[in-house]
Amino acid sequence: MAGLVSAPALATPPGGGDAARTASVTASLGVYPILGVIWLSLIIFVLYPLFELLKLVFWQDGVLTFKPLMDLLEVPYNVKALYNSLFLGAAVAVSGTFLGFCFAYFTVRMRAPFWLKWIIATLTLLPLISPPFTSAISLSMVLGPNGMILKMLGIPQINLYGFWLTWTAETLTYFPVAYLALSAVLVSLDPSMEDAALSLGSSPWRVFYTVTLPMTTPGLANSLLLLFANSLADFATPLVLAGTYFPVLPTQAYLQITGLYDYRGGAGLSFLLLVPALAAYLLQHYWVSRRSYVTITGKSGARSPVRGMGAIGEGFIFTLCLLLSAFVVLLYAIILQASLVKVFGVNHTFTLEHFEFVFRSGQKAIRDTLIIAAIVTPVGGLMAVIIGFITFRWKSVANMFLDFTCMLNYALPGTVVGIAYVLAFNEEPLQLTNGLTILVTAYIFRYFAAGIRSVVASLHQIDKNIEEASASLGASGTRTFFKITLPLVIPAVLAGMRYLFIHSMTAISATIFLVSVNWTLLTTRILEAMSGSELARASAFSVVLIVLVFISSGIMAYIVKTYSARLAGAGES
Amino acid sequence: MPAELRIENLCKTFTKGREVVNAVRDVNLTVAEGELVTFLGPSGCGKTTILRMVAGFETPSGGTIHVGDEDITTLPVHSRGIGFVFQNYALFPHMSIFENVAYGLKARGEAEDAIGRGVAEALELVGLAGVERRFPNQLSGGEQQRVALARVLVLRPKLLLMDEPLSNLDAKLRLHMRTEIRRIQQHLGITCLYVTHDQKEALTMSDRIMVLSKGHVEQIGTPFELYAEPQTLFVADFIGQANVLPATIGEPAGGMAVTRLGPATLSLRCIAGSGTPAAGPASVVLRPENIRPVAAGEGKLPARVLHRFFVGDHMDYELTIDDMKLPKPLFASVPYEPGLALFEPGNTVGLDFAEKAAIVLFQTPGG
Ligand SMILES: Nc1ncnc2c1ncn2[C@@H]1O[C@H](COP(=O)(O)OP(=O)(O)OP(=O)(O)O)[C@@H](O)[C@H]1O
Ligand SMILES: [Mg+2]
Repeated sequence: MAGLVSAPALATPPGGGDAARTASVTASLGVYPILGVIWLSLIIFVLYPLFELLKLVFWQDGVLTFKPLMDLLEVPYNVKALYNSLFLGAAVAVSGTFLGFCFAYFTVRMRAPFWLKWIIATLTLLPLISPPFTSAISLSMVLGPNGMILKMLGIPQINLYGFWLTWTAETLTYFPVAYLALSAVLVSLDPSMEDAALSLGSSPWRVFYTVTLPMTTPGLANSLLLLFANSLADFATPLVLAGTYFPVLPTQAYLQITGLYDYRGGAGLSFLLLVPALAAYLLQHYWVSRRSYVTITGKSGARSPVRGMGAIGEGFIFTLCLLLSAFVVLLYAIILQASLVKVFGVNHTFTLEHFEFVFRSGQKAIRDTLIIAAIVTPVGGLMAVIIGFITFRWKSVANMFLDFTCMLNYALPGTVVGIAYVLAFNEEPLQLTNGLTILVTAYIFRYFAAGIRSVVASLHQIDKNIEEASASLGASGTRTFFKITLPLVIPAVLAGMRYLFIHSMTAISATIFLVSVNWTLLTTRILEAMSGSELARASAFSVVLIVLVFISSGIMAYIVKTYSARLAGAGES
Repeated sequence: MPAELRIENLCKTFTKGREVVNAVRDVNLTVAEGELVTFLGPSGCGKTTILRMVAGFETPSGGTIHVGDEDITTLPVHSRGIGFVFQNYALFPHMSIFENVAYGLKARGEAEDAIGRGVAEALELVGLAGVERRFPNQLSGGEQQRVALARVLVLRPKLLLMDEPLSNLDAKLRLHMRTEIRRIQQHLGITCLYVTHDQKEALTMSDRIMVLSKGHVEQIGTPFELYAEPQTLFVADFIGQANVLPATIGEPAGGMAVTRLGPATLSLRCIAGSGTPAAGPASVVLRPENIRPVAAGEGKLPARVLHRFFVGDHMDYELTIDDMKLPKPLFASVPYEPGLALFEPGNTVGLDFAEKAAIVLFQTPGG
């Protein structure tokens, strides 16, 4: 589960749909053939690869066996990787949630000039749309051996590669996920409860930790789990920063396959990764996110102005947010600088040679990446609408299973999905490696889940009376769907498509296994440059990718915003 | 074209897991062409459910619904030609007012110019000409409500259903809209079912009222009938205020019965249909405005004053009758007039009422 751009929309809203209003609509859309196609594609692109993976791990010489897994666990290095992955995940979850909470508290609950809040909120989103290497590259330039800051401090000898750098980079990359989830919770906490506590004689700080914090607890739990899963799945950061000092499962699985061609070992390590990732996801999805929603429903009457937590706490948060934002800016500035000078840290003469290289040698990667994103975005968006609509309208055990299957690739770490795809599509009858199809399907079935979530969330918000009104005015089920329902969920679909787009531009963990000479990606070019120690080229590639993503996702966000603004406020009482 | 509505033995059962809710039980109702019938009853008594079954949003568990000669019980919603006005208006937020009102005509496939004319006419009718190009979120609540009405009326529905259409408006606007709705309904001669919580609204705008309780019909009648001759204690208490006194009656004859009411024996009017007409325990209903305290020893019953409230245009008393074990105090409301005699709390007084104002129900509270 990679960074969630639209985390608030991912919360599962309360209340069931209405079975009664559904039958005619679904039936008249001719849902069965569509459902057939969806299931077929899910079986091929979700269940079958996973099945192949499990088969390789647990099936040997025609018998069910745990031996390959046991063999893997005999190797101390693998056990260490498992332990490291879990430890790193927990550490990132705690630090990222803490930072996310501070940022959320600052933007939602504290008095500060609007522009400052805006700048800080925007900066926080930057890591979410950046390719996974960004913070890793710049951190290695800042804190790596001979890194800028270490030099400044006069301790250039110290080696931070391993846990410390990986942890720092992942915290910086993923705290925005916590920020999004927690600011949604804080926004909807009714300040009148805090007012009540204040008027009962509590100091602001006491109110904060006896009222505000406890009411945010489900949100915090949610954020911890999200970040744990994100860190567990992260492949790019440890690949660059952890090295052999701090082996983790995704990189071990990758090396097992690309280095040793040991598919069974790679599959086994993926399985070890799959178990905690799926557990964290299920816990988050089916338990915590439901609970957290309870705290944020309910209309409040007149809202009183928000209260802070007292001068000391607020001062601390304010300083922290400023410093961290400045650090994020520094990291991006360094990438930009590194891409524009001869050798960063050695020869700071301005040059465009790295960009020339990118546009010459990387032209194909740019084109391929854009083509893939351009296919993935609309197709995934369309599937998200259809599946979201079906699962929302038609509550049944079969559709709960459909929903679960759609979430599977999303919940699993990219490394697991990538290895499963390699195993499944390397040979006849479904020989897809080397092609475009395998990349496109990997992205669609991995990231359309976010689109489904946001479509379902927005369907929940459509007042059912609106569709009933349409029917009683004489519109058939089909007409109601196309004239009323669809236009009303379009903002959600666009948000889902934006998510698909960003991730099909920036993801690497699954597709690193699937690129070929025919089809390559910008992210894999960054990785190549990194492994060749060509930091400047890696930086130039990153800058190009960030700019591309920033512009296109900005355009999409703008469309969503203008379209939703027109719908705002109407249709309710 | 307006048409008659006939609801026969209508039932609706909801099952929520193991819990079974009988939301509507065996409801029968005939609404004549052009008539406005209001559903009145406490929250959860099934008003909305009946309306939604007539509209086709819910499928009845039993019974039939006819409009004119046509059985519409299982007809799909969009083929019914029945207008529904929602409590929350349910305007389409992504469409302009024009598109909202034109929606049904377009679904019907009418020609462009007919649609234009229809929309203009409908908006004119609800007093909203000129807002065609705005969007719902640019209108006030009252205006949105009128658009919702226009959107339905433009289709000239056979039947108009309204579920608490005014409950989101402020008191003054509600008053205005209720005369407005009644005017339009009578002007078009539309058959109409109307749900409200507001008793005044129901009494002033209905031809007839159907009082419901726990899913079944308590009484159907004109507002005047319900007030003057409630057939059940529930109706007596629900429409206006009622003092209920336990009594024992002799064999009723010719609509009258000899009634023992505490120490008094009177000959009172009995309400037919309020239970089995037989000698035995019964109840006497007295409206607060029909009873008044008088000097001790006078009147029909001895009583004692508990409280007195001056409300301006009238004087309210809470009274009790010591040897009758009343479940709650009696309430008397005496219109103000110069020189009105006052009684202090604690005073022993007489309780007076006209015999024709007291009505006997063959029912006892709780039984
Ligand atoms: N979809 C449903 N599922 C289960 N029970 C329902 C459903 N709709 C209504 N009920 C139940 O049926 C009963 C009647 O509900 P209904 O909405 O008709 O009441 P009402 O008279 O309109 O109340 P109110 O005045 O509060 O609007 C209630 O007990 C309600 O809980
Ligand atoms: Mg209701």
